[in-house]
Amino acid sequence: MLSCNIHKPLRDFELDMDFSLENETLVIVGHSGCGKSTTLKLIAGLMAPEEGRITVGGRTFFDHNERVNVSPETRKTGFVFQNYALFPHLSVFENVSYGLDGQKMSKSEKASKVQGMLEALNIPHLIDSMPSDLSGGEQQRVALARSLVLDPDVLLLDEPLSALDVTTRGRVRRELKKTLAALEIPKIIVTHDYEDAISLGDRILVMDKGHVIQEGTAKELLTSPRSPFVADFSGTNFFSGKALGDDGGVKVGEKEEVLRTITEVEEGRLSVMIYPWDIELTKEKPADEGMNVLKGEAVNILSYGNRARIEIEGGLPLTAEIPAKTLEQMGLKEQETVYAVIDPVAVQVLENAQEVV
Amino acid sequence: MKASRRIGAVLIAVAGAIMIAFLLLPMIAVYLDMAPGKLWEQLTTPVALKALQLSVVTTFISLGLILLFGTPLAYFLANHNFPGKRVLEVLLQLPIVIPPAVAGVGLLLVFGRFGLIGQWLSGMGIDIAFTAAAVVMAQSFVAAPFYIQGARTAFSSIDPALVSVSRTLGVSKTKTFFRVVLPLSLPGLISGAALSWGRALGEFGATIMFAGNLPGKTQTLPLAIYSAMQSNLGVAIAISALLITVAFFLLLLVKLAELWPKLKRKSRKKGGTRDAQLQHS
Repeated sequence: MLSCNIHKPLRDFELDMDFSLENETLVIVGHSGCGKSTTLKLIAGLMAPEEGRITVGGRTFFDHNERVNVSPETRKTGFVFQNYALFPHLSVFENVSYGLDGQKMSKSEKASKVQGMLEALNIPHLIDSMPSDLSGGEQQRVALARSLVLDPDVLLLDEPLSALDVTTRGRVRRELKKTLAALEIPKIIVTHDYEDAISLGDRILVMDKGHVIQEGTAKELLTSPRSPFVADFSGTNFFSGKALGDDGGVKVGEKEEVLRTITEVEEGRLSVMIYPWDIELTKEKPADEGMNVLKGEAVNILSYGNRARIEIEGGLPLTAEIPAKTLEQMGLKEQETVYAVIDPVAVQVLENAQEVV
Repeated sequence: MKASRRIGAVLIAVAGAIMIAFLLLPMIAVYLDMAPGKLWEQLTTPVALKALQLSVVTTFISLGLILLFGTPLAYFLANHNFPGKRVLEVLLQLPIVIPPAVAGVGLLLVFGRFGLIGQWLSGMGIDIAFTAAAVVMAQSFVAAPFYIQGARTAFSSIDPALVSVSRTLGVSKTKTFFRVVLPLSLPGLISGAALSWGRALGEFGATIMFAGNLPGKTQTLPLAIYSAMQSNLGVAIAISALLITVAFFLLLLVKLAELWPKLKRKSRKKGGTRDAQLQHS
C-alpha cells in the first residue's frame, strides 16, 4: 500500500496530489510538464515536497509535520527512467549487480541472484553485453532487472515506452504488462500516451497542471469523462452546451450546432459525448432520416491496422473511427468535404460533467 | 568561370601552405640544428639537469594541487545553478587570457613580502616570493583554469539520471561519484589535467616575476632557456627540443583520452559477443 499526499509549488503552477494504491498498477497520464514525473521523483526522494506525507507499506518516506525525509538510498524504490539510465561503462551483469554490491553477500550468491533475475526477464544471454549494444526493449528489461533484483517496496516507471520505436512498442508493452502483473508491490507508471495508460493500468489517474482531474478504470474514463480534457485523452468527442427543452435537442460547440438526442433533457447546461465509432461518414450529402448530419472537412486521416481515425473540422470538431476498408471504399482524402452522420441514440448526455472553461 | 575557380583554389592552397610552414618550421628547426647525440650531451649539463629536476617536481606538485582543489569546484559548477555563476565562470577563465607577467605582478601584490596576505605570512617568518613555492603558485595560477574548464565540461556531460538511479539503488552520493561520475568523466579529466600540466611546464612570465630566475632554486626549464640564450645557445636549443617532444606526447595523450571511451567500447563488444557465443554453444 502506497499513499501519497503532497504539495509542492512548481514554476508555473502548484503540484497537489492525493492518491493511494494497493499492490496494483496505477498509471498517471497527462501532457508533458503537468508534474507527473515530478510526482515520481518526490516518491523516490530525489526531490522533496513542501508539505505532505508519503508512506509505503508501514514506512513513512516523508512527513512534513514529523520532519521525516528518508534519503532515496534507503527508500527501496525501484525507479526506471525514461531513457533507462543504464550505466554505460558497466556490462549488463555489472549494471544489475550494481545495487547488490553494498549488501553483505558472497560473490556466488550475487552472481546467481543476477542470473536468476535475468532469466526471469528472458534476457540471460545479454549478461556480458554492454548497454550501447542493446535495443530499447532490452535496455528496458535490464533497467527493470537492476531495480527488481533489490526487491523494492514500490516500482516507479517514468515514460517506460516513449524511448521505443513504433515497431517494437506494442511487443515491449505486452512484456512489461506481464512483468508488472507478477509483481506484488505498488507500481506507478507515468505516461503521456493514453493507449499505454489503458493497456498497462489497473487504474488511471488523469492529471493536468499539478492536479488530478479524474481517476478511474480505463472503462470508467471512457464511458463517463468528467471534462473535455479527459475525453480528449481517451479520444472521445465531448462537447458542452445547452439543452433547448421540449425535445428541441441540444445546442453545442462554439458554433452552436444543434444535435438531436433521444434523451429527454430539461432546459439548461449539459455535456454530450459521442464515441468516434458511432459516427458514420459519407462523401455525398445524405438524405435526412432523423439523423444528425454535420458537414466538415477531413483535416487528418490516420490509418492503423484495420481501423482509421479521421479528424473532421466543421460545425463541430469531430473524431470518427471507421473500418479501414470502409475508408478505402469511399476513397476519402485529406482536405475533402465529408458528412458525419450520427444517430441520435449515439449522442449521450452526461450530467455530472464539468463545464468547458 | 573555370579559370577563376582554379585561381581561387590555388590561392587557398598557397595561403594554407604558408600557415602550415610558419607553424611547423620553428618546431622542426630546433631538431635540425644539432645531431641527436649532441642534443643529449647538452641536456645532461648541470644547468639543464637542475632545471629539469625543478620543473618536474614543481609541475607535479602544481598538478596535484590543481586536481585537489579544482575537482570539487568543477563538480560544483557542473551541478549547481546560482546567481552570478556565469560571471564567476568567466572570471575563472581569465588567467588563461591575461599576460603571464600581469599574473606575476598580481601574485606579488598578494603574496609578496608587503602583499595583502604576504605581510601576514612575513610576520610569521614565511616568505613565499622568490622560492620554489612561488614557482608552484605561479604555475598553478596560470594552469588551473585549463583543468577546471575540462573537468567541468566532463562532469556536465554526465546524464543526471545516472546519479539519481544510483541513489535509488541504495548507493550514496559519495560512492556514486566514485562508481559512476568519475569513471565516466575520466577521459575529460585526463585531457584537462594533461593540458593543465603542459601549461604549467611551459610557464615563464609569472614565474620570472614572482619567483625570479635563481638556478637550482626557481629556474625551471623555460627560464633556463632564457638564461642559456645569453651564454650557451646549445643548452637552450636542447631544452627547447625536450619541451617540444614532451608537448607532442602530451597532446597525443589528450587525443587518446578523447578516443578512449570509443576504443574501450569496441574491445568490450568483441569480448561480449565471444562470451555470448560460448554460452549458446
